[in-house]
Amino acid sequence: MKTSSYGEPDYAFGQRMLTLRTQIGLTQAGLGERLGVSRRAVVKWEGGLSYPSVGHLQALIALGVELHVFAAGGEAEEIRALWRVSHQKVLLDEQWLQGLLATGRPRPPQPRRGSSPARPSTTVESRPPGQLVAPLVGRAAAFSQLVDRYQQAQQGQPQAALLVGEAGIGKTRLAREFVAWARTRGAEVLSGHAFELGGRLPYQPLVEAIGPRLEEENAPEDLLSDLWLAELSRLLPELRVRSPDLPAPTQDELTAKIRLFEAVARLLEALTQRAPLVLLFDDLHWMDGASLDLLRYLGHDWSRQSSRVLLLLTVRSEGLGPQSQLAVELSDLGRDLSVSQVSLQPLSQTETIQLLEAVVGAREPGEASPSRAVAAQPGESETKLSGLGDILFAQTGGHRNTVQIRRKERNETRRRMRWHTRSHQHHEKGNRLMIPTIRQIQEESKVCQQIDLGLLQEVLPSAKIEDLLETYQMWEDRERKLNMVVLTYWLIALHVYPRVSMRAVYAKLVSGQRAWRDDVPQQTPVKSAFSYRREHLGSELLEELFVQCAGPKATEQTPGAFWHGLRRLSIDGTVESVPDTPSNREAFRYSTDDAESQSPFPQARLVVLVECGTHLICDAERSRVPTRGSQQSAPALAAMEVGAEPAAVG
Amino acid sequence: MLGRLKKNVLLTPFVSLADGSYLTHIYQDQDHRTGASMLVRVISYTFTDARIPGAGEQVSRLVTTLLDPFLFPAKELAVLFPERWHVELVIGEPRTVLRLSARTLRSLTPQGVIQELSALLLAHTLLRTLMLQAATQQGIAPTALSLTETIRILDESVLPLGMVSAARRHTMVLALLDEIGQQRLPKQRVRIQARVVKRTHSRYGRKKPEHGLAPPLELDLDFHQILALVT
Repeated sequence: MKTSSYGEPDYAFGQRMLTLRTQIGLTQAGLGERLGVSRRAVVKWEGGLSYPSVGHLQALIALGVELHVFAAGGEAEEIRALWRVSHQKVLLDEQWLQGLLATGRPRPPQPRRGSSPARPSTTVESRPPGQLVAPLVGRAAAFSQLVDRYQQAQQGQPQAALLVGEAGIGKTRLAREFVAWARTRGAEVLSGHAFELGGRLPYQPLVEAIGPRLEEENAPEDLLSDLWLAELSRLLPELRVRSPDLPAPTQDELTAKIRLFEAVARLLEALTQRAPLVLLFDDLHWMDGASLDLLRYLGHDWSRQSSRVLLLLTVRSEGLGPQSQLAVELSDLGRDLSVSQVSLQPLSQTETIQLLEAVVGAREPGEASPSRAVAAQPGESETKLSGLGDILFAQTGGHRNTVQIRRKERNETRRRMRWHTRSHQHHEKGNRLMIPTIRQIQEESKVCQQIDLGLLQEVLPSAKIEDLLETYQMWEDRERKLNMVVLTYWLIALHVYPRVSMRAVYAKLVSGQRAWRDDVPQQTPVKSAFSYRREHLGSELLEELFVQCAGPKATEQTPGAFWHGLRRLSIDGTVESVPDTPSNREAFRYSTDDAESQSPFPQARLVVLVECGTHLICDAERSRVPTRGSQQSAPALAAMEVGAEPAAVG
Repeated sequence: MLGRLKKNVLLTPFVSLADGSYLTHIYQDQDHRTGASMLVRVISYTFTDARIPGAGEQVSRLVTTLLDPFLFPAKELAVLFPERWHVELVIGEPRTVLRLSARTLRSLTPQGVIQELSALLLAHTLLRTLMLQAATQQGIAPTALSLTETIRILDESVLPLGMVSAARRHTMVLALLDEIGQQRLPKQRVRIQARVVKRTHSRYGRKKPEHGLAPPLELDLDFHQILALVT
């Protein structure tokens, strides 16, 4: 379960979830049952306080499609919009969506564009089983830039987009994903890949791009007249085989080249008449000079005709130095087309780990029972991970980020592997599994045992926190460094050590265990991790914990606590200043509304009931109105014991 | 219930009692004597020691629901009332001891504020519970123990407690509780102080709404890049 961004609830999203659920026709609890989440989680979704995770959202969408809640004909758009609005970290999987919509019910036949030649239908490739497919993580911004370019091209402004990045960073991957997306939008896609040898083979990427397309064309003569087809047959001799009575291409050496270029230009133009064209050329740095000339020619032609073309090029940043030939060529191209650069940065650590975890989850190791995943033998899990790393490396084409994992983050991921609990089973079964409680995990692996508050843990045992977590159903699938129990102790410890920074408090708490256990990670979580997890924890758990721990505890024997058989309590109101942010200002007012004399910060108001003999806080209530103590005490007094004797401000 | 009455509340004695207090009715709307009413006992007292300002002249009135003058003598109640300041002490404990110089809480959202407040009160409660246990062991009043010393002992014990086995830990905990019990505060004396504070004086102007609540302008530049000489 993810939480919405810091601040106000996302009411628009909550409304969307609510209408979806009512259209499906389930109660909150019922929907929770179907999806395998708690009712509380659904409440949070509809309140705009959190967003569903990827799996849950997919299940919800599948349910919606099954019950035909989305508008007919426009489901894909709606679903895409829903995905966007729910701020998922992973892009919507188009193939999954298409598969879902295809199996849902027969789609109404789309009106065909163009004339008699049957366009090849877009086939959804089925994924070969057992193959690792890593989700596209962390490239949302680049992807949306490409989408913008495509839309501009659709309007009739030919565009060129240049994907720049280091070797292995994922340019080709992103380009392929984008091209797949464009295909589903009905674009015509031609792709060619320049490789290292290609420098000696002129026009090789072009042949790769055009050849198959012409092959699957029923009637090439509809696209181009025989004259131009003849010119093309220099590059594609199979055209002669199909139409034996093609005239011979011109033998004139001077004009041969330009005729070829013109033929290609006309072919592409004919294609753009039918659908917007996306032309992908991979690894531009290896492209031969002749192809580059052709690209320049095409660019000029497109700008003249305002064709609906998007030229997508990937190039290594090494090949694009300031003085290089390629840069010069591209700047020339830029005179005709509007060339935009999209540079790809390496994935951040969180994104890399996300990638790895998503892959591990998808991999579904059959042998991973909880006890095994929580490996007692460190050697075994190590080899498992390195084997996994090798597979990843191969599958993602030498993904640079995977290499980073293997080199730098090995300790981190090894530890994560060890505490990988039953999440894959959870997804597999689909219905509500028994939520893995912390007691089901092996003793040695409990992360919360790594933290020690010393004496305070005598007074607040972790069992108490765990019980509350079960009541509020705030367990998570995965064990984390900052799990809920650890976080609760840390929040309390923050106040016991007021002068110490947040991370240092955490380090203090872990220091005891670190001395004799070697599976305690060396790295303290970063500050943002604490904020994120704090937000996730919410306030109800701690409030409830306080209510359970607080109360008068003195006995008659305690000196000074009782007087003539009555317990001595005292009540008063107090204020605490809070930081001056808009949401705080909204919730907690200043002392007066008069701007001249009000308090510098908004103030949270409390009424506190205290036991005089022990200085224990028995009860604390929040009050909203800035009034004197007497008016606030009424609700608090209602909670008092009979026979207690408090002294109050009258 | 025992409370102090404001000076401007007028009451008419209904029944005078043997110990110097009297019974009367108080109403929800005291000025018009209408609404729900309650029978209460009023005790008036003043200070006698000449060193205390207002001794002999300033009369404070207490109102209480404990009506029996023999079970709950008036003088004893009046002696008890100043102990109300325990609540102020307790309110002050989280502030001064557990937060020191921070001007505000740290959370930027209301939910975070509530979470933080709960954690603060929890921290205080847990510490005080610990002190209660230590005091019960020694047989003394928990208010005689020092909170700051308890925190210090807690801090010093986090590392050792984390390192030992469960059996040894139990003995160590008992020993630590004993040590907490040794940290006694000096006996509290009668303290009388006017409710005033020193006002901090600053040369700078006060922030007004027109100054805006936006964060300061921060440019990711060097001064080289934005300075230009004027000739």
